[in-house]
Amino acid sequence: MAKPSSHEINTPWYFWVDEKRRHNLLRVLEELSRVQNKPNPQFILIGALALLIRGILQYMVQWDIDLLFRNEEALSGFIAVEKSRDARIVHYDEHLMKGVEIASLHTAWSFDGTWFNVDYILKARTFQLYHSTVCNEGPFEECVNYEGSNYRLNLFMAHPWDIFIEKILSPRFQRELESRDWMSVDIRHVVTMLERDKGNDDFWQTTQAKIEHLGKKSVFKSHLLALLSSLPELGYRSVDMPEGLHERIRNF
Amino acid sequence: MSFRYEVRLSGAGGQGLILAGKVIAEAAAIYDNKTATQSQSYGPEARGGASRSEVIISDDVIDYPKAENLDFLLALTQEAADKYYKDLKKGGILLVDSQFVTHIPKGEFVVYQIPITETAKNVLGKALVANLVALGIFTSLSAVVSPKAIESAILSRVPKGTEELNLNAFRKGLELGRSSKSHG
Repeated sequence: MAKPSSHEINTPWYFWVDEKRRHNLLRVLEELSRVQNKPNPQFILIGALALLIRGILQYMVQWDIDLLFRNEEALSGFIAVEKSRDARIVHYDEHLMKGVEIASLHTAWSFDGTWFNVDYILKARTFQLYHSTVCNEGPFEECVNYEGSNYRLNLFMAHPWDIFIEKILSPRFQRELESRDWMSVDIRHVVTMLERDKGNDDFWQTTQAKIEHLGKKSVFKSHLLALLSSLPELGYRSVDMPEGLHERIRNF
Repeated sequence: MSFRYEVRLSGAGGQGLILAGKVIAEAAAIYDNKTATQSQSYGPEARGGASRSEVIISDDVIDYPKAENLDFLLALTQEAADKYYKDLKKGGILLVDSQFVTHIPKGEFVVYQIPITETAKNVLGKALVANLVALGIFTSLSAVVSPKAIESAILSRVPKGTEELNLNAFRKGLELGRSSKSHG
């Protein structure tokens, strides 16, 4: 696994981004902070980048920015809003690509000649999953000083426990689990979060309350129990789960 | 003079093409010190629906991140071959999975017909690694990214304990690409 030269524990999250694209990413996030409505956001930063920024993922790959929009109107408004003059935005898709459960528009943003993928996403009934938590928590704030440049980030960003729930409930997760796809990014992220929070009572209580509220208890339990029983086949032989965890999940 | 190399990986959802595109971009940008962009287009929940991943590799700034004049096209389905072969530039490379693409489009490009999925299934025991076999063939035929960089990018994406099968799949693809090139 590629690692920056400094020790992992002290590594700022953006050091896990390809060095040539760090300034661009920070500039894109600053721009998104500027155009995001507050205190009632029209979009929320979700997915792997939210986990990276919170220090949960620590490895170097080509990260994308995933933005989950409240609805199609919010997405149209975001596309139309005036961006900084030095921003170049290219749409990979000709129009919003609509599936049964999800619609997306893939774009790339550039401020400095390098490009960062920004995916605009609409998912039925998913915005609310994140929205209540981010409104309670407030926006993520950080002032990043990198190589003499300052970037002010002030962005509503998904809570990792909500990301955990969304990934486990997704049809893609089920498919990747069934095919024992050990290169699945979603499975990797879920396992990482499980390793981190498996012994945390607050994590399990919050998760249980949320999936009950969503009315998704049986799907969640079945996907998560299937994951736990498939860990060795998926390549995660060294991941130990606490005794009684299966039972706890079954009793959700 | 700077170079720009455009790749499109096309087929159906569930064939691991998006991930393969990401691995190529990561190999080029993170491990080979080039610049790269990667994009994807797919029906998000449609296993079996069309899936497409594009990578642009350069040794300089990439002015425009969309692929329009392909140097390399991988087509894992007949539909993908028929749809995209016209985007290949003169002298470009068309790599098809010979099990699924039987009608070869005509044009001024070089065609390689290789049993990618069959190799993954029969030789390596898992059809799921067809994307890694394809990555190996791509690496041999294009010579635009180093095998070492691709291996590093693969290893950063797979859980410990699965490295051997994944690298075997990639190396099998490398071999297939090399032998096809020498016989081509």
